[in-house]
Amino acid sequence: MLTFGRCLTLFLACGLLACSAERKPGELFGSAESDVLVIDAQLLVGQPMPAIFLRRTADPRESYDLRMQGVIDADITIRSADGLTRYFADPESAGRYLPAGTVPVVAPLTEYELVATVGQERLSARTRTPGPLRIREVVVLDEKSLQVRRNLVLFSESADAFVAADNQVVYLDGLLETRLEPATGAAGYQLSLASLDLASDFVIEADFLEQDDYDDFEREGSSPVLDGAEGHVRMPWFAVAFAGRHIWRTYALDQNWYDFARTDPQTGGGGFGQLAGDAFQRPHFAVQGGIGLFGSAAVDSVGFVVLPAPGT
Amino acid sequence: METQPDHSRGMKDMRRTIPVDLCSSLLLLLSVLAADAATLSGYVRDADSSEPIFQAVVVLPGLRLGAVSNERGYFAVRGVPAGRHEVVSSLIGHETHRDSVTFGLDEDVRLDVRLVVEAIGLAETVITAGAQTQAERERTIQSAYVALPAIQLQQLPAVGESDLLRSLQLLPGIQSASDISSGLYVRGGGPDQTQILLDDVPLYNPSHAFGFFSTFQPDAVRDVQLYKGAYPANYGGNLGAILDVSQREGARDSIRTTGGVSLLAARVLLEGPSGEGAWMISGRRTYLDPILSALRSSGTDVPDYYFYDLNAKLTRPLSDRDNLAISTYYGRDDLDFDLGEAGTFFGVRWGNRAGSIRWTHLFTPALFSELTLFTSEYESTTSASFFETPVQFANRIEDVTLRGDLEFFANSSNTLTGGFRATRFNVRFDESFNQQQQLTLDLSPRLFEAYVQDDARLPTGTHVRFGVRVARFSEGARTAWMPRISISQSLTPHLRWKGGAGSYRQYMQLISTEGFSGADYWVPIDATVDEGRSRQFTTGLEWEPNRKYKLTAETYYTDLSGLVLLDNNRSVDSRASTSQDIFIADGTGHAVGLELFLEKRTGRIRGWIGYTLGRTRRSFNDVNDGRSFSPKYDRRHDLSVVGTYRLGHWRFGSSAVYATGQAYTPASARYTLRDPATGVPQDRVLAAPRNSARLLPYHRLDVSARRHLTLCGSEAQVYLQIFNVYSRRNEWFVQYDTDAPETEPTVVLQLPVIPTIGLEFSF
Repeated sequence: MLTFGRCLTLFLACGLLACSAERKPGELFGSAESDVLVIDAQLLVGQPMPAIFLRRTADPRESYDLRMQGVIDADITIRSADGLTRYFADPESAGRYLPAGTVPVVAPLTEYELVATVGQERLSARTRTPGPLRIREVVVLDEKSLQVRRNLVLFSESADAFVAADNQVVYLDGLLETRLEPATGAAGYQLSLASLDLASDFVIEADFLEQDDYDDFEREGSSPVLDGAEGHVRMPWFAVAFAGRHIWRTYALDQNWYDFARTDPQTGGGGFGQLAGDAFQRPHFAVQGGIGLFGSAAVDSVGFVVLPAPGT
Repeated sequence: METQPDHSRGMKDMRRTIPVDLCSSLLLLLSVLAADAATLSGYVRDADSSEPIFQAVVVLPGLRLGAVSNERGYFAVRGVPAGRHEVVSSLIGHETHRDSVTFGLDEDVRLDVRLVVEAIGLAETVITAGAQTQAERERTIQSAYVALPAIQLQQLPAVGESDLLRSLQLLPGIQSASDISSGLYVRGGGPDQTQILLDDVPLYNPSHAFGFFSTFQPDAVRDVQLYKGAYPANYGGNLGAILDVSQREGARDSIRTTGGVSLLAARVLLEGPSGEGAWMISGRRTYLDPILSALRSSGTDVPDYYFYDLNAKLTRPLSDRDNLAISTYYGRDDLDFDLGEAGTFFGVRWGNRAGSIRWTHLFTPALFSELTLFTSEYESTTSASFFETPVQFANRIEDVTLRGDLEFFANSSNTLTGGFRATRFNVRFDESFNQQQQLTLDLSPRLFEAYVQDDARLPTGTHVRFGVRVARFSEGARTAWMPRISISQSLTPHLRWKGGAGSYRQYMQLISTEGFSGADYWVPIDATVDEGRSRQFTTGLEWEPNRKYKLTAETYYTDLSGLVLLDNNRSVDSRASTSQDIFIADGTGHAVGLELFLEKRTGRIRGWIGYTLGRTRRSFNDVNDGRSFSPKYDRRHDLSVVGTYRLGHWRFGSSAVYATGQAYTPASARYTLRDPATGVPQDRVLAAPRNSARLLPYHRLDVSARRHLTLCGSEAQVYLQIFNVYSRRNEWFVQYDTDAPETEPTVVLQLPVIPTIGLEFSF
């Protein structure tokens, strides 16, 4: 019978031998799901039928080249009660498809069905567009009292809202809040903020930021999904990094877009971060025969100019 | 040795003092039953520390009568005939104590026993009497049960400070989430499924430093009982396991001081007599903050952080039959990371407060009672601001509980227990973003529980503990009956079969961050979601060829339903106010496993080898397309080898662990989709089925060396501990980067080798 001490020695020897195990990077991927069709199509109410993309997934172990993933020989249609829109492959961009003939406008509260056929493969998805969305007002709130300091000029009030004095917003001064007339049939809302002056300077300034941090700032970003239950949506200042003209879009989302955005680890996260731990999950794809997003939204926007904070 | 028993306290005296206004009809009945037999009763205490000893065996070998001491060290043996009888008291790790006691007719005898910790090498030769070893095997009928004295846990190697919860992670069936986690994952359950009690009071968050340490000061802990499953009816509240930690009462003979200094924290414990009772007060605090402050002044961005604990306890006898114990705990963690500009800071504060007043009363020598009023409060606040955008999560839970327990030592074959627990919770959870209130929960549920239980020892060598617990929870007006049973059957003089089963409910839910524990949140389940339910079954064999070795083989199966997961996919401004808004509900799961545990309990080398073969699955309709998956902490194999060795003034310790790698979700494809709100293409990776891959196996070796010495006339120990001796960089989690054409998985690693030194002293 082995003595306790010998058992211990044997175990330790095994343990030390096991130290030599090393991880090969390729082992960190799961079974490859390559060549799955990926649809990328979003309809915006009141706007023409958009360009859409059809690509395939790639094995993550291999070097990724987006151009190689485009599907060029698909037969794609989008059907609604108002008619059928056929798509043709854009010869300039592999995987991009453009509507053929007279391009219809996306109607509110309408169901659309997309079908893509590639040889024997068939991908399909449906969306029901929400009703129109209208921003009622955009206000600057006092950050302490939360009282309205002033209203911004909307595009519906002035085509050149950017030059309006009320739309000159000082960085970190007050809180910007959009007040909406909720869209019929919207599952939720999402915001995007885009800096339009591509050469403008940073307004963000902090000693704790390294050059790499500054390099990582992007001029366009989107928010997680919002319920917007009371129709009031505030802009977080951490979304703003640059001076100059900005456009703040609010989207009223259909169910597909809403479900995708709220389950997308790229915009979600928590715990270990975005692409790790329990937050790393497969987004909710409402697509048969593939993955991706065929969604719709109604959108309204407001423009303003960000001025650097005094003393910077 | 002959002890002069106290013959002065007769049954009639005791009966006269029964406060009738406090007695139920049941109690009166039990009192009457208790009145017609002579009884040997008393307390078993440690000779050196005067602490009560739980589960000491007191037998009258010639009469085949005996009892096991309860948590307060109290025992009672009824039906002792007149005459002179030998009384043998024992507990493994202590020298056997023998008394010769004369009993008169119908006389009650009080015998307080003090057991001496055994000397090295002695135990192997002391115990030979068959009746006694038989009795020792009776000390616990409970399967899935481990009782450990604090001193044993203190001697195991650790990082910086010896730590109770980290030491428990070395037992079979218990896993950790990571090197920095002291959370207990018992038999396939998450940390929320294990209730942690300190002097009977639940502690909602037993961690400091984001899980690196537990809240239990090693000096202040007397003993630890861990029910890994199928726990008895006198406990309630959680689906999986119970960790019951008892604080020391304090020295009854003189004022003593114990303390320690490590690289991270200093601690001190003072204790002494208080009349015929004792008091104890202890404190611990990190001194990282001056170091961090110095780093900050040199321009390094580091947070300010500290934690501290305070424990205190006062125990006083009020009369021969009454004892009062008051205990309290206060602990706090505080992390502040103020970057001092751009309106950006991050702060986390959390802590527990607990206090209890316990009145112990002997209605008769055979009828032991306790009435306890206790409160526990947990508060957790995470505040942050990023460029003037404030975010706050605040959770506060407090409970006030009145608990009563009766224990009737009916005879050597039966101990009846029963009791109630009435708790009122106040829970508040607030979440705000950019000065907009979002999630708000404000609930004040009430929980009433009652139980009855009988420990019966049958002439066939069978020991049965059967009980039932009933719970009534106000949210949803739910009532649950939870039967529980444990059976222990002696098969041969050295071999015992054990089995157990039970039904359990859990009404409070932990919201925790994966991988580490810090500012956790607790919320009750309201009427919109089913409570967690489990059924546990366990069976095994215990082979004890002698006092030196003990081998246990045990299997378990736990069936779970009503599980919830935090819904991370809800919209960020959700005005959630009910459980169904916050959780993905109606989860099911199971855990099954086999545990092998070989202990060497005496001699210069002591320790254990533990092995677990386990499988745990979870299933939710809205997760992983409804397919079942392994939770992160599912481990197929888990092996630990723990040993201590005494050589003169030196004591060496080592622990080695090997475990199957944790489950993680790998990427199975790469693809591109535009951000729908910006139209900007984003390279993405597609998640494979949840937790469908494994990290590399985990293994680690820790060693420690302690040297006893005399320092300024006082006893002291210096120690060196080396965590992860061969600096195995175990994998923690995997993340993916899609910035480059080559998808780059990055493995985040756990802790490297960490040596620490320290000093412990007592005078």
